Amino acid sequence: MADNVMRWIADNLLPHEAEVRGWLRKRRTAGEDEDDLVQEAYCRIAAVDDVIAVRNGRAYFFATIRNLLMERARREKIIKFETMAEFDVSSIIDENPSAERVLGGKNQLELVQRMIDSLPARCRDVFFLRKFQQLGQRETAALLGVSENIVEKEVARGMRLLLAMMAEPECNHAAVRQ
Amino acid sequence: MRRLTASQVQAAAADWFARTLSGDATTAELHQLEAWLEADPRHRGAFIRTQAMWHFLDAPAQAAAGQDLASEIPDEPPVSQGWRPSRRVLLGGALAIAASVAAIQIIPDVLFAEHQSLATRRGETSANTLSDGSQIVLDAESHAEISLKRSQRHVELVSGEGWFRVAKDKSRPFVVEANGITVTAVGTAFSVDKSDRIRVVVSEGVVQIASSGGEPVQVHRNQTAVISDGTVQITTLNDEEVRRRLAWREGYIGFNGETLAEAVASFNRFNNEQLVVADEKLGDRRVVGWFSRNDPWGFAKASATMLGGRVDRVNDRIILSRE
Repeated sequence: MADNVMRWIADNLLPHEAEVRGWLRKRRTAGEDEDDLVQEAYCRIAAVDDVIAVRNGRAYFFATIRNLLMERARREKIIKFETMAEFDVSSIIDENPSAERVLGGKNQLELVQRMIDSLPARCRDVFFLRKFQQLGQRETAALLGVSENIVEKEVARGMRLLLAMMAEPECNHAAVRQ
Repeated sequence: MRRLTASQVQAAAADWFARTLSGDATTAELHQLEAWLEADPRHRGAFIRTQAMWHFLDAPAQAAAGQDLASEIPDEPPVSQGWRPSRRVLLGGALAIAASVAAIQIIPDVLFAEHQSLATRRGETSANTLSDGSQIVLDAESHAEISLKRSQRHVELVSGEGWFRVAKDKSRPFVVEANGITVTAVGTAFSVDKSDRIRVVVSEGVVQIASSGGEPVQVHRNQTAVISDGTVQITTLNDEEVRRRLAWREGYIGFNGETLAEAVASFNRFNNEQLVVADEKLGDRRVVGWFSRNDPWGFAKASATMLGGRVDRVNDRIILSRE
C-alpha cells in the first residue's frame, strides 16, 4: 500500500477511532460486533481511490461505519430495501469536531509517549530501537541480548497493546487534557 | 477457513505485521499473508489498522531522531518525560547508531483490494452500494464476486443476473465478467444475465463487450446484446422494453408475448411455490403484462382469465389447466 495512504490513515482515521467506538457503544454495538465493524471500515476506506484527498477523515470514518451497519441490517432483513434511501450517508455526520476531539500534532506526540511509556519494559526497549532508532531486527536483538524471535514477538505484543489503548475513548481524552 | 473472533483477527494481524517488519518473511509466508488478507475484509482491515498504528508513532520518532545520543545521555530526554527508554538501551542505541547499522524496514506492498461476495437465494433480490458509489442489484439465485482494486473495479458474475449502475471513475474501469466475456463501463448502467446465454441490457451510457477472440463491441443505451459462441448480437429496444427487462429490480416481471410456459418457468425460478401448466396447448399461448414476481397465484389467476383456463391449488402446487 502506498505510504501516503498509510500516512493518511494514521493521521485521519486512527485518532478518531476511539470516538467512533464510543458512538457504536452508545448504539449498543459493542464487543465483537464493534471490533468487526472497525476492522471492516479500515479495509473499506483503505481501498478507496484518492482517499488522501478526503479532508474530513472523521466524517468519512463515521459514514463508512454507518454504511456497514446498514448493510448488516439489510443482510439480516431488519429493514426493507425501500427504506434504504433514508440512510443517505452524506447527511448524517455533523462536520464540526469539538476541540477535545481533535488530536493535533503536539497532542499526538504526548499521546504516543504516554502509550509507549505504559508498555512493559522489554517491549518498550524494542520499540525504541526498532521504531525510533530504526534499527533492524538483528541489531535490536543483539543490543538487547535476546533472540530475533523475541524481538518479533515483542513487536507483535506492543502493537496489540498500543491498538487496544487506541481503541479506548478515555485514552485520547486523557492525553488531550494533559 | 474458520471465522476468527475480532480479537483473534487483531492478534493475528499484529503477528503478521511483526513478521513482515522482521525482514525475514519468506516468499511463501508473504503468499500466505496475502491469502489471509483476501480471506476476510476484517483481516485486511486489522492489518491496515496495525500498519497505521506503526505510522502513528512517527511523530515522536521524528523528534527522537534529532537527539544526539552519541554524545551523552541527556538529563532531560528531549522528547518528553513520557517517552524514556531504559538507560541500557540509550547506551546501546548510541553504540548502534555509531556502528551505523540503522535499517528502514519496508512493509511489502500487499495488494490492497476490497473484496465482497454477494449472493442471493431463491425469491430474494438484493441491492448494494459499493464503497466507490456504484450500485449493484442482484437478482434471485445469483452470485457475484466483487473486487475493487486501484486500477480496476471487477465483478465476476458467477451465476444469475445483476444490474450495475457504475459510479464515474475514468481511471478505474468497471468490468463485469461472465463466462470469460467482459463488459466494461466507466459511468453507465447495465445488466448482465448469464441464466442461459449471456445477455446484456444497457439502460444508460455505453459499455464495451469483449469475448475471447472477437473484436470488442460497443453497446449503447437502450440496446441489448446476446453473446453466444463468440458472436455478439445487438438489438435496439425502446424505453418501455428496457424498463420491462429490468423490472425484476423492483420485484416485478413483465411479459410481452412470451409463452405461458416461459412465463411459468420465470416464476418457478423465483418462487418456492411452483406453477404447473397441465396442458401443452395452453402452455404455448402468449401472455402480456406486469406481475409481482413473488405472487405466482396472482399471476396464475390473471393468466387463466386472459387465456381462458382454470387455476387449482394441489399439494402446494398451482395447476393451470384448460377449462
